[in-house]
Amino acid sequence: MNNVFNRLYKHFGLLLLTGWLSACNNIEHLNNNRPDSTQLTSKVDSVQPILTIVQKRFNAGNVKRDRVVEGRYIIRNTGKKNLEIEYINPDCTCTGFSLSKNRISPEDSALLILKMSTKDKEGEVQIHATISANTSTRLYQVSLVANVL
Amino acid sequence: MRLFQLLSVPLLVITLYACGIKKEAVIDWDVPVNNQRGIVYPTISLDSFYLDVVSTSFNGSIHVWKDKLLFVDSKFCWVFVFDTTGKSIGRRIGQGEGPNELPCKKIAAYVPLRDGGHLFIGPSWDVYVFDSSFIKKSDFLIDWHPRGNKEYIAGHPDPTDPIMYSITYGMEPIRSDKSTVYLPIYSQHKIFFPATDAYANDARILGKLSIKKGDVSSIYGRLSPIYRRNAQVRTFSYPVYDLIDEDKMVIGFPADSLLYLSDRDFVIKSAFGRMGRDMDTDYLSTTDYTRFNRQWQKENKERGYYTGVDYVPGLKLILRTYQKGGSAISDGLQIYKDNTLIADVDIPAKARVVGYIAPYVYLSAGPDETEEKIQIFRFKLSI
Repeated sequence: MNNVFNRLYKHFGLLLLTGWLSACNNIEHLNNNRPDSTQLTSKVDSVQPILTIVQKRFNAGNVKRDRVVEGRYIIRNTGKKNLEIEYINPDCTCTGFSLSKNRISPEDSALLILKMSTKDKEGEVQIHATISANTSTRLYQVSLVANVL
Repeated sequence: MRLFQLLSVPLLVITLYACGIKKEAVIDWDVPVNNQRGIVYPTISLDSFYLDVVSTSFNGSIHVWKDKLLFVDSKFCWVFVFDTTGKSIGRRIGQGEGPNELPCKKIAAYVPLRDGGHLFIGPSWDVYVFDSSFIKKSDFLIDWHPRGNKEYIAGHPDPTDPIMYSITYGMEPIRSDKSTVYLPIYSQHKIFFPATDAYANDARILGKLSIKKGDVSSIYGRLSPIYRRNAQVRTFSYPVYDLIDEDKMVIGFPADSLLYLSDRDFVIKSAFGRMGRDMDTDYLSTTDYTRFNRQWQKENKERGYYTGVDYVPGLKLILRTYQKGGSAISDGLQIYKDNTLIADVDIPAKARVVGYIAPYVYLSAGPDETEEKIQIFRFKLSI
């Protein structure tokens, strides 16, 4: 019995070692060749939430200095699962934001408002905000443009 | 005799201490100048292509890395790798808390390292070093060795104190050699800022960051004499530079037609260069602190100035790009060989040198966020 067990152990041990080494190689392979999110999207679209921004760039036109300019963006979930907005990160301390809801059901939408102060600004100004969500693409961006007079 | 014996020990200690302190050398700008012009290339033939469409913020910088092109997405913290025809090879790094991700929400600066690795600077002096396989090797906060504190320094500016300075993000690529990253720096101090005489005389313009130790061992260098003589040019008070071979640098300034060859410690050896063509140098300046930043934005868009200096080791050429300003629809590129101007040609507006992958020099005007495209230009020279 012991003899049989030892032989099985040797064979399985070798197989396990081979499998483990192969898995290690795959880890390295994946690490160095992570596909672009656009390649992933087509495979997972059917089960993932999909974030669609109706208009990513909001142009406020001519505005006076020392005012607050608002940019409004509709964020839609065109996927099949709940869309979770993880964070919104404007790239300027001059900019605040409000989001009507963080969890967006399939076929529903939320309103994002960016509020930028034009204090100490002059000429064409552009600020961005990064949106992080539980989608395969993960990160999105909206921008607010104004010409400060 | 007894007095001498008593004083000899402290004197010896003081002398040894003084010898140990490395004094900053006085910068001598009075060096031989070469204005030679011998045009070899009256024109260059540019071709262009677009990088594959990828899921990016279209904010960031383009670099040559090994024999690949990189787009470093400053907002999403992704590094997109492309071959020399613009075909996407993959996406690396990204935001996150994973071992090989960036735990910051913005890349403030990036520099490819000589060993094939990558160095990223976040918005809070946070630095992340990756190897050539995009595996994180180390991270640290830059230690600037500040001497004063912000409250004291607000009323008592000290140009020798690193606490006065910040990196000139976005104006010029950061450079690196085997162990050091060279950081272009400037000050936004309310008394000591670029429009002032004191700044033109005493501002340090470069910092040496040790990749291993994580500290800035020295801040050094000065603005060239034109900034002392002419207050109008002071909105452009920062260096444009590159490293040459093992121990040299070529230093330029946006408003100075000369280029300076120096060692890595800013000891100027010689100068050369000629003014670009059709440059609108009708600069406006202000000594008012609150207006200064706004004015810089305006001047930056409208005037002519030198935008970048790049050394191409494979060809032993120095390339200098310039914005013509005014109503010009193109910018300019000068090529120097052995300190002699051998080409001064038109390039697309806002195009800057990205790097060299034999046999092409690559340029880009950066990502077009509105059109969501990144165009690359390239040309080759037979030297």
